Amino acid sequence: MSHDHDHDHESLDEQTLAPTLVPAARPSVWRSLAEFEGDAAVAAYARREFPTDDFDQLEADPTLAPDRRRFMQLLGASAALAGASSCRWEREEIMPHAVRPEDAPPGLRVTYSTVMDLAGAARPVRVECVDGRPIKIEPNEATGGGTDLFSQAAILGFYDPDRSRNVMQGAKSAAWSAALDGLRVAFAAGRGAVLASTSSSPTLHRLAAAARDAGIRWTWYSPLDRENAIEGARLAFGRPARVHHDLTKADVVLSLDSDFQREHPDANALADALASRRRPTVGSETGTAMSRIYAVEARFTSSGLSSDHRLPLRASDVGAFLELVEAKVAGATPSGAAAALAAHGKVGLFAEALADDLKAAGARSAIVVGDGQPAAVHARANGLLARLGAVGTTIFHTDEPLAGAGTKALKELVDALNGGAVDSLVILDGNPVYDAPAALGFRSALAKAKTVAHLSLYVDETSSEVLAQGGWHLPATHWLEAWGDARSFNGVAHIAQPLIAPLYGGKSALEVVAALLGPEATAEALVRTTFDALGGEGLDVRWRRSLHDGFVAGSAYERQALVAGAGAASALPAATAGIELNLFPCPKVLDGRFANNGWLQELPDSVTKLTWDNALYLGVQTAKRLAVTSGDMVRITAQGANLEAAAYVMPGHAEESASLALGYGRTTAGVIAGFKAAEVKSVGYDGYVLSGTSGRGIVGGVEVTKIAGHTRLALTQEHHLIDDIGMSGRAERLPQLAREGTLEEFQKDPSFAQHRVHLPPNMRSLFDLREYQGDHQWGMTIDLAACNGCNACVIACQSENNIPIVGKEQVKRGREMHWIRVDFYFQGDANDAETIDAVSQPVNCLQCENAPCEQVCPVAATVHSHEGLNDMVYNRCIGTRYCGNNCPAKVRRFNYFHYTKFMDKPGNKVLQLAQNPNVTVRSRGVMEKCTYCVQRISSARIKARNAQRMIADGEVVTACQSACPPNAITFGNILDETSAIAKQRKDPRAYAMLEELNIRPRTLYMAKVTNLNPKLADAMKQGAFQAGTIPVAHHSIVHNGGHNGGHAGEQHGAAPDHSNGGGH
Amino acid sequence: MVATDPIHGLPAGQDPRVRPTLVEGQNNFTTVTQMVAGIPEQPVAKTDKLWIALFALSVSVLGMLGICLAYLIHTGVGVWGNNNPVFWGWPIVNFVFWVGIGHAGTLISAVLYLTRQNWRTAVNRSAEAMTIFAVICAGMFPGVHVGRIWVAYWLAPLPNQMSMWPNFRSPLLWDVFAVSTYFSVSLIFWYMGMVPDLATLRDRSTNKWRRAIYGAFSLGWTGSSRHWHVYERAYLILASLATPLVLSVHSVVSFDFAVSQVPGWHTTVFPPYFVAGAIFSGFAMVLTLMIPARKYFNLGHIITLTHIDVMCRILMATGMLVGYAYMVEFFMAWYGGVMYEQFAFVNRAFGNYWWAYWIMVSCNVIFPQLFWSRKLRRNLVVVMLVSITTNIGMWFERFVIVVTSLSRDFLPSSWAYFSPTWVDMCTFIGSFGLFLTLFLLFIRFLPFVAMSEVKIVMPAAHAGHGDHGHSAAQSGAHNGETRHSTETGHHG
Repeated sequence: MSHDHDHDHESLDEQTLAPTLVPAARPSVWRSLAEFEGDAAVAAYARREFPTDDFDQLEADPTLAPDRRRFMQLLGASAALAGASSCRWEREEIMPHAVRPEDAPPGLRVTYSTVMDLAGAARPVRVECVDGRPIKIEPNEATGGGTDLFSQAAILGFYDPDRSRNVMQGAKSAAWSAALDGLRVAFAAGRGAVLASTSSSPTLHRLAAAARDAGIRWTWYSPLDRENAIEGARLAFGRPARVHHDLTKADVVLSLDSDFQREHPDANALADALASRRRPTVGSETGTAMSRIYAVEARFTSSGLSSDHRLPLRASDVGAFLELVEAKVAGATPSGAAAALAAHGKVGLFAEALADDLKAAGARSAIVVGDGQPAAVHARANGLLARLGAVGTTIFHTDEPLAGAGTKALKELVDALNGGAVDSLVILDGNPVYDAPAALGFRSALAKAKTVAHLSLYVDETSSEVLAQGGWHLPATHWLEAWGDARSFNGVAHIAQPLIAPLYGGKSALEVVAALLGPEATAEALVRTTFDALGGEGLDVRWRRSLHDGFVAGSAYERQALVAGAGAASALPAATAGIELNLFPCPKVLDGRFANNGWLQELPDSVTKLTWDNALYLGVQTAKRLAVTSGDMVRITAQGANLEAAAYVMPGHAEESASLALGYGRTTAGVIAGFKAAEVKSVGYDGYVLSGTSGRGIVGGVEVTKIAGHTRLALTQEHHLIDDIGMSGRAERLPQLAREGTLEEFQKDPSFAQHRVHLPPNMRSLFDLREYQGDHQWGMTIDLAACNGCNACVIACQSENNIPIVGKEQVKRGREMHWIRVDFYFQGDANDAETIDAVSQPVNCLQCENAPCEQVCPVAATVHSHEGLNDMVYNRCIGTRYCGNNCPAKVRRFNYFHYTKFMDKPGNKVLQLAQNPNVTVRSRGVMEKCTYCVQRISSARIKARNAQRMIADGEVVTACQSACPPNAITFGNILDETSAIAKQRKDPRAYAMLEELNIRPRTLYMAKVTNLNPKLADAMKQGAFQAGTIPVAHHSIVHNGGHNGGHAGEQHGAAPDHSNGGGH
Repeated sequence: MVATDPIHGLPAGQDPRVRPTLVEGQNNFTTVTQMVAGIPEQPVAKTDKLWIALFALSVSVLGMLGICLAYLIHTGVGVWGNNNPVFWGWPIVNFVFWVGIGHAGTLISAVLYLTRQNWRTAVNRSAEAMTIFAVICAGMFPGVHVGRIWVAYWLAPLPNQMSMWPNFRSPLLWDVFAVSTYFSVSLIFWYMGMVPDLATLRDRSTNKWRRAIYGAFSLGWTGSSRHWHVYERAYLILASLATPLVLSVHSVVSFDFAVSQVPGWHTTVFPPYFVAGAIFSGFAMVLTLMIPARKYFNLGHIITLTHIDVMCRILMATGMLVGYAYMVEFFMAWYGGVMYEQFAFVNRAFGNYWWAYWIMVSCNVIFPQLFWSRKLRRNLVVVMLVSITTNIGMWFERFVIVVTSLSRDFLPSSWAYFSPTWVDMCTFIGSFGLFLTLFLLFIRFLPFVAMSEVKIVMPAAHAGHGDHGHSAAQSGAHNGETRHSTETGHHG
């Protein structure tokens, strides 16, 4: 063989080295004039077999040509390696099936456990994949029910066409290898630093430690960092600690300026625990297990919504209020600021009643302090809880793994940059140019570093700044496409496994850091290394088990027994004069990281129902004083900076206080949130401008002035177009729609809610009523006592049912498409914040048995199924919209335009991958609405039929139900007497909204019960419990006792006989 | 001018014993024919400038309608202002508005015919034409307002691959039947009534094309006794068929609202109330069109002030019926004791749309009260103004019903304010372009007044019989004589 090659070589040489042909004779056949003339060069060229081959180049320059020995070496090596091509080693491959395996029919749903890390707290989830693409986020029941809306919305974020796709250096795209080599060289020269977005990933923490060992400065920062809470714990206990709450054991809960059911890293678990004590049951001790919730807060939050008593208070007065409560609990006389505050309005009264309750509850009381409150307030709350004996019952402590992360650390980095101590900086995720406290000057400090790289999902404000400096932009992987790990608030570790190959060839923070520190490693190997450090038996099995279950068993933090010291009585910062400004992370887009997610932008805010915007929330009297109404533009001056923003007048907001959500006003985000370069207007107003050097929290001495201009806010509930007649109409009907009662009322008559409306006798229908036939009749209940308006159901439904977003202008036109919405009503006297309460009520299609929509559709596009669903047949619908008019719950949505058409654009086609293949993507001109997730019912039915059995209770879980953290939604077969839904329907709190229309809704509501403190019940009436707002039923109408399809009648035995209806 | 009761000195029309003079001036059959037939017989080249100007304007507005509809069909229903609670906006308002206008034609033609109101003859032809054109405008709106226009035919009970009937429980389907029946009967009625006049035009035409076209459409009419006999029978039957339709169409249209359960729609008073309103608006539109046309074509002797007087009285009567309905609605809402209904009506009058409600009440109830005065009934400027405000008021009535009810129904969370877009407005204005274009073509090329019927009510048709009230329809022999005269008229 080698001989042959040798020979070939020689012959080649022979040819090329041969003297030029002598034109012996003119050829009679020729290709070109030059050949005819016998040009030597042409002749040589013509003789070459591979005239342009590199080999020939070598020949042209003999110095480059290999000698015979070298040639033989190469040849031998080639032959040897040719034989090695059949050898393989295990490689990580994630790819869609080119050839489908036999056991994977198309459309088969496979669910994997994984985890989302959100600013230092894990959100363990399961992800449903269809044909190798993630479609839907579901909660991981093994780690607790429900999901938040951020994880639900991650599907859209993952397929966002605006994600960055290339490594860039300056204005040019580059290769990963070049970038990593460049960074390695730069870091090798020393004075390297890493700025990482705060993460709970054990592997990233391990790598961070290694980096620090290697002399790299490592900084954790995210605007969501809980510095104050950590510092508060340090003050109280002498060392950083994490405070955990067990609200299932709390009889009295005090929320101090905290929206903990949304913003807390453990929000889902807290919401669930809180709700578990809000559903009074009937029995020997009817309703006694109910907790009582107090909320003291500036803006109206989910805590205010869930609370029994709410005190509107400026956030900067919360410390003094806590002092006041401390004094009352201790039986001491308050002094200073606390005493002054006590004289203000009903604060003293409220504190007195609260203190008595806390004292009585003792160990069974809990206090949750908002992360925006100063450290001293946290410290004092820790001290008070210790004194009440709550530690060990409702409160426990662990080490704080994220101590040191936050603004202070960022400030040190900025100083180091300015001091020339950092030459190379790698920014891992995060967007500090946008979200660092404005007065820190991060942007200008950044220019001091010689080499800068930003790893990010988007070319955002930070990336574009870095690129402008000639630095690197590195595309990051989304958590759905990367290996990783994260720890829950309680420490339980979870492993993130990729569901799909990286869409755009990104790398995760783990991989980038590993590449900086040494040899590149895959994220999987890095995570596995961390896992292996656990040691012990059967690592492989435990690894697979952990991957499958979605958590690492036995990894929770150990509880620490901490004793509160003198620091628990740290001096509070003085209350600020003038208007205070609360900068808080938006409950929808957080610190702005989700700003380019259309689902979240179009999601109506829980309280204000504001979409596609943030606004400066003002108290009613303050707004009146400033002559501002909702939508008016105001100038906010704080800490030497100005911001012009729209105002929103929020009932129940503390006076002389203003609140502004962070995360808006992005200039380099994408086509959703704003992109200056492409002339896409920013959504909302950038609150970071006002954040000084401290980031989120309270800013004192703010000036708010009205300026010219008015903007029409895109609200899905038009609170502000309501005239007096609208107001009175709403007040009149609300008690019948979202029914509420006091615990006292419930104890007297558990079925009180069913008597809020009395039905005319003998309600008959023109048409035959359907009978409950067959095996399954589906029904739903929604518990108003548990709902905190968190909106997770809305996003879950949007993701499951391919619901399009329509944009700000369409929302202003009232054309939002959500199939489930969370109605929110303020109650009380808007002019007096202390009387304000609210109720939220999720409304989806009620699936009326006697559906008004079905009767009026001329083409029979909406019809009843034999299982009791009100089906919508898109193919049949011609869009007369008559059904929408006739729907009393107004849950039908119409495709006024082809809202899904933009997905056909080549650049947006990736969004088609996010669509659920089991649900039709609707075209223009058809009606749509909630179907009780009929596709899930069908999947369960197929499984059950194949197994020749009934669908089991709990087998069909609707998207809204599964996402709901406090389990407010129950769904199932009402014919199955043992099912959860059948039991719920028999609960005396169950009532049918609008049943007087004889629509016979399948969705029932469970009335909200409020556990009033007798000391405040009359002295500080709020919301629905103000005099005269609970209606007295008409005496002339006879009560027919036939509520809720006849089920509720069984409960009436426990209650007085209402057949004369006169008592209500 | 006005025939006066010899005994009581009452104005004509108020004493049943006296046959009022329906054609004034020194007119006979010949002059009537010349007056009416002269208009279509004018050579195209000599078409009046004013007509051309008006026609150019109407066609331009019609073009705007075409552009709006093309934009709508291309883009989607979202180009209108409709939103989530207000799923029906201007298109349905316009539909009901135009259907209402389409009522006077059949009423004048059929009901007044059956009740022997001879004064109708001067106006019935144009009123019928107005009906046809108004129903065309009306039918357009539900047709294009559906989300998927390309499958709008699914509303019809056609055999299809889905093996499905439409939903017979839906009032919208009833609407389809009601409006299409009304349209076809009205069209046949109008055309059939025109056949003798078309024959007159054919016989008088001097142009080959006119002769051919009018000839084709006059169906070989010779004016023989037999033709007249069959014609009168058929006319009577069609009139009897059309009469219940006057009541049924708008009743069925009102079912769209009454059968639903939207507060403010769900009322049993709707069918009679809608019919009264339709007649009201129909008469207003007849007046609005007739007064300028009468002036322009110099038809004052045929469409007399007495005619206008009578129509004003009907306008006032129906206006008061409508006003009564407005009051009854409030009473029923209060008496029914349903919170939502009560709210709907208070909100209507004093809520966000109070202005629309009070425009409606002013135009429909207050302004027509001027017609208590005989002087004002005969003041064409006043009559014109009141008929126009009535049209405006009746449009607002439908707006009030459709939009205010929907904008605030049961759940306050879903309340919203409706505001129209430019497409809404241009489409509505454009529908007038369609209407006027058709109407201008009609008055230019077809007999604007029913010549044959006018001649029947002229004294000459009853020569030798005195004024003792024989109706033409009762007397075939006289009819024959009359028609014969008609036929001979143009020879003279």
